[in-house]
Amino acid sequence: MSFAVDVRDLVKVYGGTIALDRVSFNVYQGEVFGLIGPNGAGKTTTLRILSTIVKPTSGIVRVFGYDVVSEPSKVREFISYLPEEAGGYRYLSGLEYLRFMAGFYARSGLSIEEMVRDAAEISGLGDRLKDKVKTYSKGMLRRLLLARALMVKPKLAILDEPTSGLDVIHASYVRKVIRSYAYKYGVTVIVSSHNMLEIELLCSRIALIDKGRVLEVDEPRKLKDKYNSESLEEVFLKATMNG
Amino acid sequence: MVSGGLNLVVKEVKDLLRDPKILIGMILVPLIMFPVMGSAIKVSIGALREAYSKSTVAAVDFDGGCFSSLIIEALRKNPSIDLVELNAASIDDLLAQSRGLDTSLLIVIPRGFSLNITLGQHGFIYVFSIIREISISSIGGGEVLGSITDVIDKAVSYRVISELAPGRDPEAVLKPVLVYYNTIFRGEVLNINPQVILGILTSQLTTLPVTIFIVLIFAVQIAATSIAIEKEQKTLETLLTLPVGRLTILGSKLIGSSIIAALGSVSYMVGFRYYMNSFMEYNLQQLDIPILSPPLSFYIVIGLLMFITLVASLALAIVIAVFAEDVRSAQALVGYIVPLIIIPGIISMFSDVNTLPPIVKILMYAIPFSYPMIAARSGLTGDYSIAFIGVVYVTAFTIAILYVAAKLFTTEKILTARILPRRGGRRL
Repeated sequence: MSFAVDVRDLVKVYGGTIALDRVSFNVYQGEVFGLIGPNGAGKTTTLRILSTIVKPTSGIVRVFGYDVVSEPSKVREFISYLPEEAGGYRYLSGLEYLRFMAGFYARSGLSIEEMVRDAAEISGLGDRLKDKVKTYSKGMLRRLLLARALMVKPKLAILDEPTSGLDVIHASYVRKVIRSYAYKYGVTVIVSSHNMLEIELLCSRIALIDKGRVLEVDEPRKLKDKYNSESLEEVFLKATMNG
Repeated sequence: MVSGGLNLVVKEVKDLLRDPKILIGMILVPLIMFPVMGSAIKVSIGALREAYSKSTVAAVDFDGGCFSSLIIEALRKNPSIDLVELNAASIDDLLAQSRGLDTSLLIVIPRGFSLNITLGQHGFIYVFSIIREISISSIGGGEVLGSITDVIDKAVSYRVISELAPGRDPEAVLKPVLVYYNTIFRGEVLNINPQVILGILTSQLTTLPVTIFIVLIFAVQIAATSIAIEKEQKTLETLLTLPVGRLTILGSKLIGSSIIAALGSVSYMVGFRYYMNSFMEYNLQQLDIPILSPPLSFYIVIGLLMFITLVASLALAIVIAVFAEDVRSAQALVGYIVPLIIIPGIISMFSDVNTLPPIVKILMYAIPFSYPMIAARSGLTGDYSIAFIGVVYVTAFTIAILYVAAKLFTTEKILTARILPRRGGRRL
């Protein structure tokens, strides 16, 4: 099977600090893949490298066969990135924001209005989309941004802590949308989170990451069996002790 | 497919224009503030002129001689004086009576005044100025006093001269030399005292630099804020992953901010022109010297220079804001370039750059933000050479800054550059 994402021996050093240390993992096309780890583990740096925002110090990172360093503009055509705690433009309405973002992706077979219609459905914000973004609650904003990331039907959706800071209702809504969207359109999704339960609910495979190193990559069920644990949290703790 | 650049520019303009801090502070305030200021000045000048056009003066004649009667008669006939003649037994009585009068001047002609003059000696008159309040109009009362003493002096002098030298023109005796003042301004000969022209020009020279540096400082703050907000809200991070070039993003930011800056400049120039005209109007009517009002070419040349300087300041602010993590730190960082705008502005208010010590002069010419202020000053006299040099110099500076900005935007520095140390990870 061809990889949607191929990461090999990825190293990232900021100044004198090692953020990623020989990270390797693969993501298959159409799967929802999770990066689990505590804050500062290197999840966001990995996703930023995949999103072509940050360059690796060494190693190989390919997205659908394209190298993120030598062919970043090609990679950007396939991806849609939702940063952790991202915001919208406060003085634009939700609809204006979606139209603005859709403008970069509108091409044959995918019009701005189609994308905006999809986004309206994904976000479930209804008439509130006509209001300025500055009037949105955190949950509403996150739903708008998730809709923005998915409306373009990317080949790879990169979602950094998509439910971070959301209440139970909004978090559940976001998870449901990610799951159904990935299934419906065959979109490959990489999700990062420090919420082990959330990742278990969402992902077919996961990578445990801590202090810039990948400790394990496998299906949640297999990892629980391997570590003889009830939960991924327990798996993570045992893996960090072994690692 | 919508052009990525156009899409970004439209978003930038919309987002900035809808920000009340920018819409009100940069565009609406100059359009409202300057006309209001101009109207206030116009009203104040009008009120002062009205007040000075007719002054109430109280006078008492203890002398009763021919010269004192002459003075009372001259004051009575003077159209700009409303004379109140008092009868008082003493100075104290006079002061008591004056308390009920709306006058700020009391003239007392003592006994022996006419006799002294007849004998060829000085005649003494006592003038009491009553200060009731401290205001511009009270200070202006000095002008009224001067004109009244002129009336008195003239009346007595004419009579004395006509008695001593019958047949001679008293005016020619008093003022045997008449000087006709002329001023050459912008190559045009004006039959006006240079003091009058300099007075009007000085007021223009002090207001222009202040207003120019206010606009520049505001633009710098806005551009830095626009980038810092993108970083703070992580909208920039999303932007950088869109299928659009990094230089297109930078270019759109600059074009968007420049459009807002241009709108601000136009609003500023329109407001400022109204402001200048509103108080020039009075002087022009009185003096009929339209040349003192800056010509259209002045507004075009200085407006162009101002616009290029604004772009330079926006580009510099964007470069600086790249190193900030949030709006507050961006504001603090651009604070370091604010003195480069304010100091030349203050120097330009009070001095001609050519009269400055060589080192200060070099520094003034080295700072790109100085040029609109220096050029506005020389431009008022019709000399646009500094403005043209400024256009070339500031354009070169702008290109250099844009190059640095482009370098920052095409690397991860745009996201990772910061003043504070990074947390997390392990040390090597």
